[in-house]
Amino acid sequence: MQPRYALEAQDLGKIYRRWNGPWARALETLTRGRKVGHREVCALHGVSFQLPRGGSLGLVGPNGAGKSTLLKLLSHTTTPSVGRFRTNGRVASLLELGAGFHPGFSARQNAFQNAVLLGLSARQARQRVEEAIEFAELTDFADEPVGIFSTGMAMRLGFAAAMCVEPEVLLLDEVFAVGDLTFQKKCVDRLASFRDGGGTLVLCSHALYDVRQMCDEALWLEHGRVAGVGDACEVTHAYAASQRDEEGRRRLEAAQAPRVDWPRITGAEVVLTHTGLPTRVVRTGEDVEIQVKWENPDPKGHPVQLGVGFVRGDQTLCAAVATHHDGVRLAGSGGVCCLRLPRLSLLAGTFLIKLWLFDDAGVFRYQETALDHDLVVRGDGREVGLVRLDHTWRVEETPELNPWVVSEPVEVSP
Amino acid sequence: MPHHVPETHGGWIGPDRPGPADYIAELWRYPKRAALHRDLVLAWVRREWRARFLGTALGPLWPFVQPLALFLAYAFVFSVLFGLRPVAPDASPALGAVWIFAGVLVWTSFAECVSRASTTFLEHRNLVQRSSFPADLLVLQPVITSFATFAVGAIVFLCVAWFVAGTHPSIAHIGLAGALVALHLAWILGLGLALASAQVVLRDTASLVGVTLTVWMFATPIFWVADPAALPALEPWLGWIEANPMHSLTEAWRWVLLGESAAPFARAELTADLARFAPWAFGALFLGLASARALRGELSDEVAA
Repeated sequence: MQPRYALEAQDLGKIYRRWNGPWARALETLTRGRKVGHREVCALHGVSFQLPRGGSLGLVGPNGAGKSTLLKLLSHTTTPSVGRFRTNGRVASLLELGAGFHPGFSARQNAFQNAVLLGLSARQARQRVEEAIEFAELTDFADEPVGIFSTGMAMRLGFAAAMCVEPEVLLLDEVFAVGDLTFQKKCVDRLASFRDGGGTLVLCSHALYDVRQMCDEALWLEHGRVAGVGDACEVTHAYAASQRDEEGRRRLEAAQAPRVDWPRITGAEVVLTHTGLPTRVVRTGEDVEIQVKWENPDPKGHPVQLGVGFVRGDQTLCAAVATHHDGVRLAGSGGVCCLRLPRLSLLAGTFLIKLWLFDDAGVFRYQETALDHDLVVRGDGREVGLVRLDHTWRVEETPELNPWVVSEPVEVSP
Repeated sequence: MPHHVPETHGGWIGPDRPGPADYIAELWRYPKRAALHRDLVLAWVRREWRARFLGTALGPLWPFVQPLALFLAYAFVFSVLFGLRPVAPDASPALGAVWIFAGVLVWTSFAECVSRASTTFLEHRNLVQRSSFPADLLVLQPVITSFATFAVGAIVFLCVAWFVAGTHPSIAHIGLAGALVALHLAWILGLGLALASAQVVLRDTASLVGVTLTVWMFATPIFWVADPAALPALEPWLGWIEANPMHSLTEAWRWVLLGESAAPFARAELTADLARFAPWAFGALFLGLASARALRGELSDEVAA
């Protein structure tokens, strides 16, 4: 019976030992561990997940979170320190394109070497290498040394050489689309056909968009531990939100030591216009106000301007408006500035509302902060995208495009 | 399909903690692995061979230049400058030269293999860190390359020796050549694996190997003959010289290559040399396989550091 899972990990962990030098190591070995000469670095801790055949898993997380370590474990490049895992099917990993290419050898020789290294017999490798070279569009350069190739050509060769193994489980570290745009499309198509053929994919990437597009599920690692696992969209959004909060926190800390006599924002709220009450959840199309309370101890010396921005969970800045763009001035030594948003056009999502206090010219930022809670927008329609465009439809029964242009040609007088 | 990419069906993989049985099992698991991945090993050997001669005009002639230059340099220093006759006075000079050159061939191939093997894992750290394959097979590359060079050199040598000194192998010794080849391979593979593993853990190993090889070469009867009649000062050291595995190995090869003509110089019969060398070869093989096995789980982490 075929096992249900292509990949399964239970409480997987990896501890690297850092030695305090060769002598400390020799001493520890000779005293059979009584004299400790190393410290342990935990790169991965308690990772458990299951990935069914044909499934796809995206690994996300900041640098040093353990993504590459996990891929190395799953590809059998290194062994776990604790826990266990199993793979079912032929595993191939692409941890680095063209690892081990020899610059003096031809594309054909290197591709052959790579295919044999990834587990093909010499006969199989010879057949597939020709396909790989054709796929990489290097037929004219097959016998040229790789050393004279451009970076893009070498990467194309690396990708093609790796894919020609026809794995059942594919582990990718950041590299899945290389070369120019046309070739990247080819790579993506190749991966799509791999997935359509029932292949199981594990992809590690910082490009959250790619993870969402290519993967059903995602695993979010933070400091070697699982911070979230589940649907790719949900997990990547949660990860992006945490990244954004982290960035916001850092910036606030940096900006939090403003001079006492500088202008500042002292509070802000989102208010539903028809109730006049503060809210955290609104619906697309409702009338909303953003109310910002500000102070300016020295209105003559530091005239101010206010900016408000909407940042979605994936860090897309959806819109930003500012008083100096609209010719409004914040006079006096303080007050509340209301930004009215009739028929809110943002579509469903979670938004961070950013606030800036600019100088008169809108260049120098006295303060950069954000509302202390996110604004959740719930959609009621089936529209997709960032915003709802004001729109109407018109249906004409004519076979021509732009019928009014055809029927009434515009005469241009010289 | 001989796929070494791990193809497990429900087998759990946990921390690698080999027990005594795993170390012993390497004695047959390693050759099995090598046979399964023979295409990979052969591709490595071919690649190494090509890489070595890439862009050279003389190409495969280079492996013979080294022992020849060594031989000429030492012949000049010992015979011309020092006026030493390193061989028994009654032996013909041509025979003596042929005897010495046979030893030089064995030694250069051994030294080359050991010094190259000791850096194997680090040299291929790109591969070891980023792809999964039986990395301990990498050591087969210097082993096979150096032994193949030696084999070709030996054939050229047989022709030259026959022409210069009229020597030829004898049937009696050829019968044991198979055993000698097996022991020779076990010896260099074992040492290669052990040193390659040691080098990963302690980077002093390669330097240590270089120094040791130099001292070892002079301590082994390569450029001189262990004959107290020619070199009376040797007398107290004869026990040590005979215990030296490289003495047994070079002498065994001299028997095989020169046949009966080796008799005046040899300290022991071929069978005695083989019997003395066998424990060294098996000991080295086991040590090498065991150390590579012990390192396996951590190899990719260790080469990174």
